[in-house]
Amino acid sequence: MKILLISMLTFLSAQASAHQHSNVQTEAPSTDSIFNLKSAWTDQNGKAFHFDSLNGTPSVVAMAYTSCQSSCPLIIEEMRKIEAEISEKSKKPVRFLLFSFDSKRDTPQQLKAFAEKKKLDMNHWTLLHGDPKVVRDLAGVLGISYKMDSSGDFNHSNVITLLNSEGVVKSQLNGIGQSPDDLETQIVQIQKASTSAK
Amino acid sequence: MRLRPLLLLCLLIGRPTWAASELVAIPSGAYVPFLLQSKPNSAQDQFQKTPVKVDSFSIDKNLVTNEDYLKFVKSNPEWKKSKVKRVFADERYLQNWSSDLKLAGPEDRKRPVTDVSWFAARAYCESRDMNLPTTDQWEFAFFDNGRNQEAVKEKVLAWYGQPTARHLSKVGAEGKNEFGVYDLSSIVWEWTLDFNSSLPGSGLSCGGGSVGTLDSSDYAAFMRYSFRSSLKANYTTGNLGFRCVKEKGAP
Repeated sequence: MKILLISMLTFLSAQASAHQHSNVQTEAPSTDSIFNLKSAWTDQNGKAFHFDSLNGTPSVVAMAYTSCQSSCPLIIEEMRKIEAEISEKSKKPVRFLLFSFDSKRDTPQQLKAFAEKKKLDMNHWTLLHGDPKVVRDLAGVLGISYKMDSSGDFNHSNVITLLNSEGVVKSQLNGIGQSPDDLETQIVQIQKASTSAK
Repeated sequence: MRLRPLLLLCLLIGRPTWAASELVAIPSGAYVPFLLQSKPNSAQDQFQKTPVKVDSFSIDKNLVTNEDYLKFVKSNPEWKKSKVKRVFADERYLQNWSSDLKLAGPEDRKRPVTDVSWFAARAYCESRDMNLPTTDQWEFAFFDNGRNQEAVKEKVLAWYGQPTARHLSKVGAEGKNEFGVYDLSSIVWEWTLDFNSSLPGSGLSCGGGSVGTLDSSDYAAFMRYSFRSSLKANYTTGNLGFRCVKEKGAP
């Protein structure tokens, strides 16, 4: 399944570089694009982040929180594996974004310290802090379930989402696992769509 | 034609106040949610019924009607059905309205608005400086301090057993509970702010006190939690509406 995701990423990043030539930045986002979210997030350097800054590059996106002891490290490991494999296959840029559920504890400083501790390659990665409202918006768009418990920890579903260079959800890996056939079919569909568009 | 001024006059005189703006105060209290909580620091299979405290809040007496929602769309054109982004509301959004700013008929004005997504419902509530109720707030309002629970359960189960009526009842038609909240679980299902907060199968979840096991003795509650967890934030459907809440201390 992961190989399929990688090949999709390779394909999408090839598309992305094609788009960089055609200068699509000025167009309104497509109706099903996450770029329609006007939420303001803050990155690990304290800089404002908006979704449309992802325009032109495929992105691998997940939600987690850094004080999580159980499944969150696994999501990050999974994303790092994807990062390693895609870097071998393609030099085209792919972004890796981790959005925190934890508005209270995951300050930009905390996210930066976490990224350093995990030795994340900050040429590829962005870690993001947002208030509870923007967390809800993003979880809504990505179809992620979560709940804060009385100790301030979060129960949440583990979902890794692949966005294409226009910010449209192309594929999701979740805790239950997806049938490889689904992904294969999706890739074929994307390829067909892009061929007919040319 | 000659009737028209008269009709207009009748409408003006007979016009009730904006239904959804009437709020009912819900006092603070506690209730035992349907989803069992795992005991802190225990094995995954040890669950207990844990009462949840709910702070006082105010809630719309009635479901939000088509008429209410139309006013909102008029002042927030990005929520017109021709304008709305698919990422925020699917193709069914307001499908029964005849156009962007027109209901199918005058009889729809006092019916609950349906075919609205979670994003749309939230935007509506925020435009009134309110929010969607949390699942705990909604369930607590529904629980009604434990009054008439058997009768309520029977009524709700009878409603679940019916196919959705072709024409929904007008808001207020199904009566109120002792808090004074009308039509809870008797005309349409309702969005909650954290509709996506139940995680059946605790193996998927992260954190200490995981939720997940269901108390199968309350079938009506089981239906509500299952229904909510089947939703996605941009889904719209003909039997799903909403009402708004105001936190205590909010302006």
